[in-house]
Amino acid sequence: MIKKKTLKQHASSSAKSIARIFPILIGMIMLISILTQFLSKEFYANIFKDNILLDPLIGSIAGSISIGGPAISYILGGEMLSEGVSLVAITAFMVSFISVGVLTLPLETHFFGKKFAIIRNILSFVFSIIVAIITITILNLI
Amino acid sequence: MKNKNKSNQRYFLLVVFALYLSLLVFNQKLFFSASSTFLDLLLKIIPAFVLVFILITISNYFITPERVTKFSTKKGILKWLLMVLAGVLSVGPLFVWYPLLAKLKNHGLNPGLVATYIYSKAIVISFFPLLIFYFSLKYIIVLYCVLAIASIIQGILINILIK
Repeated sequence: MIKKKTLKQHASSSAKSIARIFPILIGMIMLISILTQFLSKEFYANIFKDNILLDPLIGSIAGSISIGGPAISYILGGEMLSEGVSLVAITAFMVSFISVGVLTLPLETHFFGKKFAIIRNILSFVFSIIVAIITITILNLI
Repeated sequence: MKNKNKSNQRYFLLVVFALYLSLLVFNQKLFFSASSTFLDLLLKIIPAFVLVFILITISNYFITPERVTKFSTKKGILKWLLMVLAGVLSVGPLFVWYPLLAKLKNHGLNPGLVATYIYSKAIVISFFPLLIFYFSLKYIIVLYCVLAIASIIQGILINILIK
């Protein structure tokens, strides 16, 4: 019979899972801190032109090829927001960052098959753009 | 996989430390301004991580692999909604859940439900305190609702495309 874990054991495994992401989290914050010294609002303005279709497409491509957990995507997204990047681009970036796994595609293929992994990732990429556009449209309406 | 990931993370951190060290030697002005930005950012997000810890513990307690297996046996729309809920509340990296999902898929769980579960993991309730630190509550609620609906639509599309 499988013994049920206690709340204390769950707390300990939660602490471990947070501790596991810390090296990459600290590293990413350190990198962002250097990059923000160079990347000005003008730099972002040159890439993101406030275009409702192009901005999420660029954001989604950037998110798809990035690695890390949700915490990293939120921090990156938040910092991009403070630099003036459009919310539609940031939304597409964060959603694709979490849902599209270009780098984990071999692992997904191993468990679920090539067809499933490829179709799911293509759909997730397209959905990240659609989700971003719908989210911002709703926000503008309410 | 876990060990490889761990050593990659440490290697990444070491490279960033080396970068800071080289800045200290060759460009002290940049080193101090980057370090100050780093400390500011770190101090700002630490309180959010305390809340993240509490939420992860609660999610861990309620969403177990046994419960996800049970959810997948339900009928109709309830099955889809429960898979979204399982994806939202489950914690840890996605690849940790791959073996269980693959096992369920081999036992007849339709691929659409697997896709719904995977996509709904984009709704990370446990990291809500971090998200609220940067974005508005209205934005998070709208985004999470749109993502929940999108995860079901994606699951249905996967079922149609994989047939």
